[in-house]
Amino acid sequence: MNGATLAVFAETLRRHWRGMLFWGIGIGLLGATQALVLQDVDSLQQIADLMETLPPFFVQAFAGGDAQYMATAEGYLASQFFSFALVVFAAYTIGVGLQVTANEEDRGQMDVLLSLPVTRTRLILEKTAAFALLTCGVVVLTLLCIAGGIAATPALPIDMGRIAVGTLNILPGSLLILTLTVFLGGLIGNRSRVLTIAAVVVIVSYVIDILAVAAPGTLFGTLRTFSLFRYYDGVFVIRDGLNLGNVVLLLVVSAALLGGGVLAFNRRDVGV
Amino acid sequence: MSGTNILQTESLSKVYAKNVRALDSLSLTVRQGEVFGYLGPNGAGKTTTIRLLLDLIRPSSGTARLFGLDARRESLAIRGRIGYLPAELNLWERQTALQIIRYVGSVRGGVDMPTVRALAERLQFDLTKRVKAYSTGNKRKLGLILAMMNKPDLLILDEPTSGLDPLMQQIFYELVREARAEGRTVFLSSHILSEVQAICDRVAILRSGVLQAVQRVDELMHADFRHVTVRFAHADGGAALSTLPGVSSFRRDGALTAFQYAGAFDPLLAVLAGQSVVTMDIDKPSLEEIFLKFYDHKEGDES
Repeated sequence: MNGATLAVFAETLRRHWRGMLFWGIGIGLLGATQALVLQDVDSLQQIADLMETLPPFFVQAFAGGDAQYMATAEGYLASQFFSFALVVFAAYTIGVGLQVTANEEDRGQMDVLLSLPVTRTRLILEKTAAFALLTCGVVVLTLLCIAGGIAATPALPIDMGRIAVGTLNILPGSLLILTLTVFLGGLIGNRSRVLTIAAVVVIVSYVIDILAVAAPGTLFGTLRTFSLFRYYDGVFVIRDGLNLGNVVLLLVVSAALLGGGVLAFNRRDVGV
Repeated sequence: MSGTNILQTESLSKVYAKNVRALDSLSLTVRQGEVFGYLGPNGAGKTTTIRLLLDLIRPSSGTARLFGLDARRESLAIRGRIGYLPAELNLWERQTALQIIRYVGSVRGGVDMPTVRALAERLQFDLTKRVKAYSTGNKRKLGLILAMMNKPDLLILDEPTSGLDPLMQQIFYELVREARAEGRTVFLSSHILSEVQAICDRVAILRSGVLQAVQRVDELMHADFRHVTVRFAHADGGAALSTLPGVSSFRRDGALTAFQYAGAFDPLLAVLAGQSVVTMDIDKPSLEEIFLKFYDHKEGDES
């Protein structure tokens, strides 16, 4: 890549690094708050006792059937933050995914950009790379904030390494949502439609995953194969460690979506 | 003018969804060092043509070549030599003019800041404000700076003076003349006759996606005329005007006389001096009317 090529990458970082700070600290504080509300081991035991009184369906839905795991500090954070963290990250990654082509095409700014000596492929790749890097920044800031929350509650025995794995595990799913939005932007162009479709995919995927976990023997159990949250598995990755197969799958699908977005954007009229 | 073809289209057509034919078999040539006016009413296909040249949209049929390069396959090389101002300029509202200039410049491979500052000074433009703080005219100035700052070989300007005040329009004309003097080419769309007269060498007129004519402006101006409407104090006033050389389309309705007049105004004023004139209106014709007049004369001469 020459200097002119990296100009789009650098400009994207320059314009959006503040947003990364806002989202990273915001999401991180959400996670840190969950650590801060846990005062001591007794409170965890109370949660475990409560779990024992719940019907099996709820235990399955909220704790994946492992009530003892939910009574640990890591399990509590997993169910109260990491289980839905990807949905919160989706709000960020869909937003920045729209910034790759859809927003500028919708506002007529793409005409100015594409009149410059930059290919559509480079435009998408440089912007996506910049937003992927910023998403990494949001993940790191989130981890730092949670670490701060954990440090403020020394009475709790929390394995910070497992929390770090759980936080990093948000990244592949977030990249998939980012590239899904880029793909839709490259294919459709209309900002509202791209936003709607991407949001519906994420929400439906999340709901299917929740229902499939609660009732694995039903249709939802079958549909879960198509839910990205099945491969994210934010709750049990902290207990069981990173599933490399899932990570690779999410990254491969992300790469395929990005490639598809580039192809689609190259083939169609812009701004009509 | 060196005579090298900078821009050439052959049977270039664009049909949008629902079979809307925006451009129909456009064949056009623009030569190096020429200021070429591309004219037509709204919806005529001017912007569609420009967007095809920039590869923003793809032709349904036909080809376009710029600098001898194919507008589709070699678009990147072409765009490195072009400065473009869209008709509706939408920039990033929260960025300052200078930030946008640096961004556009860096994508082009570098910013010539002395040129930027010189252009800003001539256009009386403050580079430090955010885009959202600029008036329509100032946004247009920023667009002109972005298009011109790298001294491109070809300037493609879509309605460039829209929103500029008359003083700035004159400065824009100067900039275009300077570009031409440096051997650069300007392709501009417009519907303002005075603008075309002031700066264009040749003009093409487009209507409903079809090229109507291409003509040198100086030749076209021979067909220039004015619509004259005179109200006399008496119903029989103005009868002598019908035989005056340069008068055509002569009509009388009581004390009101209307006609088209071409040529110097002294003979007309001499005739009117002996009359009792109540009011007199002189209106410029539209460019399309001049075209029609020009071709009427031409066909008349040929027959």
